[in-house]
Amino acid sequence: MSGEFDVIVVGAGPAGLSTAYFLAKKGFSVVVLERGSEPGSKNVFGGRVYSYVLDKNMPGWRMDAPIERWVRREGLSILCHDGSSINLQYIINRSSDGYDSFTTFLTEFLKWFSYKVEEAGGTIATRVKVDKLIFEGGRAVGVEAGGEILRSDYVVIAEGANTLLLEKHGLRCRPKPEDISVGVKEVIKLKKETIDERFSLEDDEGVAYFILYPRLGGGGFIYTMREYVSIGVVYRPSFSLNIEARDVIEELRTHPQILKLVRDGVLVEYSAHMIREAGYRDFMEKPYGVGYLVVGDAAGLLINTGFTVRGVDIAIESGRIAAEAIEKAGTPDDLSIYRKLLEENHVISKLEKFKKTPNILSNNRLYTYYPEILCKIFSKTYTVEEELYTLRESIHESVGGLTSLIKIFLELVRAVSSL
Amino acid sequence: MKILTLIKLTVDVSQLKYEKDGSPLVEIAPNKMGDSDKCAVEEAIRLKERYGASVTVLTVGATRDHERIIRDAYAMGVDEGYIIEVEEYQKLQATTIGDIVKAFVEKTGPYDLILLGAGSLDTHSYTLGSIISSKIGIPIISSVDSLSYNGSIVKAESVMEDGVYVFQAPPPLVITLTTEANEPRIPTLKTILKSKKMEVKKLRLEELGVKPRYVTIEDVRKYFVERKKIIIDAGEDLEKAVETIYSILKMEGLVK
Repeated sequence: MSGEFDVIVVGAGPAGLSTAYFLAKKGFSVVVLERGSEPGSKNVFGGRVYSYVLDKNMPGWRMDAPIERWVRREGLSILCHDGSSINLQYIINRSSDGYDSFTTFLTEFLKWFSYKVEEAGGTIATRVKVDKLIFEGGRAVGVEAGGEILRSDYVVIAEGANTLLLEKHGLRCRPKPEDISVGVKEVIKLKKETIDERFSLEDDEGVAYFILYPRLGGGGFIYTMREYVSIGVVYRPSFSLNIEARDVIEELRTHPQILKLVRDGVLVEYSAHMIREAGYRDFMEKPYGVGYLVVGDAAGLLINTGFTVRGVDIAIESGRIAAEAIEKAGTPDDLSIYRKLLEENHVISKLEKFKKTPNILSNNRLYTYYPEILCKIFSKTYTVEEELYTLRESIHESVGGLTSLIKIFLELVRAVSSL
Repeated sequence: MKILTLIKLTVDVSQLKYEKDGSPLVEIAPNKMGDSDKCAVEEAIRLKERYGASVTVLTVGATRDHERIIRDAYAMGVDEGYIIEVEEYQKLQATTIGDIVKAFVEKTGPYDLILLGAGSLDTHSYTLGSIISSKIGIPIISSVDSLSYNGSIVKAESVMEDGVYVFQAPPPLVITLTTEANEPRIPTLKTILKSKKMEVKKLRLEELGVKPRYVTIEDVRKYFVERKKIIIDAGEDLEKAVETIYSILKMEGLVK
């Protein structure tokens, strides 16, 4: 050991804490350096964590993990301009299953995770901003924070989506504006009974809604916590829909169908964060070097399936793999095993599977034009006036002619085939 | 020189949110070491740096956050820290805290200086300093905005409405400090890491022979003023708008 610790992890998010947890379990001396006042305080996520990754790696996690609700209702909602909405729901029968994913506050979840790290023997230091990595002869040997240097055999970079350190050292490029979204989220406090009633829920049941709202230039989401509802928008500034990032969430919250759900609540939290949208294209070809590894969002390990954005579970998984890689490599000189392990554990193939998704998602017609058309079709079909419309007529009138219909059809086929 | 510093885990009131009826959402507000307590810790560390004092920090409570604020104090340079474990710490009467400090001083003291924040960030009763002073039987200088020590005499300045009061006294003393006293240091990477390795000592009330007295707060509400949302358009007729404003103010009893 050349320094005070075997491993320094930069960033106490899901990936960093996971790396530290599994390393500490293996007997490595590890320290996590976090810029925020507590783990996860610089983080924003919608509200859902998938269970499988914890089931697999952290037996007994359900005993004390901060679970708000189990997601047993998956919804897709299109919000129309005129205040109406189109909804589709998949309701999971709880007796059969229904423990696939849960809602939580990331700060609570990471606080819990950080206790696990400490119990395993790891150290977590908050309010420490790492200014740069220390390289000697091309080898990462430590970090510098506030003018002080801390040395270690390995450095694990888990700095999240905003890869300032990696960019500083030329290990990663600044993402292009069109590859970035802004996630804006609000947390609204309501009574548990009110949430149960408005969302048709019982006990520990929760919902996850995916929302399309033509005006937003992005997708939105709703998650229910026990006594809170979190709503948010993933907004693409590059669509330039004449709407400011600060207004999108207001637009969503004041849509009549959403207002019904969150009315009389108290806004307790507002947050925003950048999201890397480029998917596989954004994945670091070589997420390692001599003495260092890159995990989680920082490495581009984020899956956008088109309906769900998965970051936390992949981050935890990559942390576990990084710990395994460090153990197996046995030396900081050659950490290429990390990439091999990512492949063996199907992390990379998962990314690859959805590699075309960003192309469709960057097509703003998906968020604007199609939902609008659907709204028109539904409105015409279900409006009873003197003049009756057949479905065919509604579609025809909403789309405006056969050529447009064919064009839409082709575009949709292309979109669906790459999902 | 031995210094005892008292710190309290308080709700970070600047981040407190309220229900529609004005009741505070305490359970979701973050906790931290009180601001003026932190100034007391800083003052103790400055005395330590100049006169080689040993600094002990004490808090009452039973959560991980209490351990965290002790470590925060370690990271600033405190030598040892104690938690007096009380489950219902939020309900303890100030006089019981006084008993705890007295018993603690008898067990681990005596101390030349007992430093604490003038008023806690959340309850602001400003009573603890005086209670401790009377229980232990040593003098107090309260609400100190500036402190100096020449090795034998403490000089403390307190800014009041009618001027600056300057007090001078030799230790032992209880001193309560305001947030004006200093700018607490920001711990560095090395001091934070060191703080993680230090032991946090724990004592129970029985070990101190203190019988707790509790107080229950029935209700806390934020005082709201309902906005009247009256819009007066002065675009057309300014004279008339002034008339309207005047008549509204008169109705409210704000002008004669």
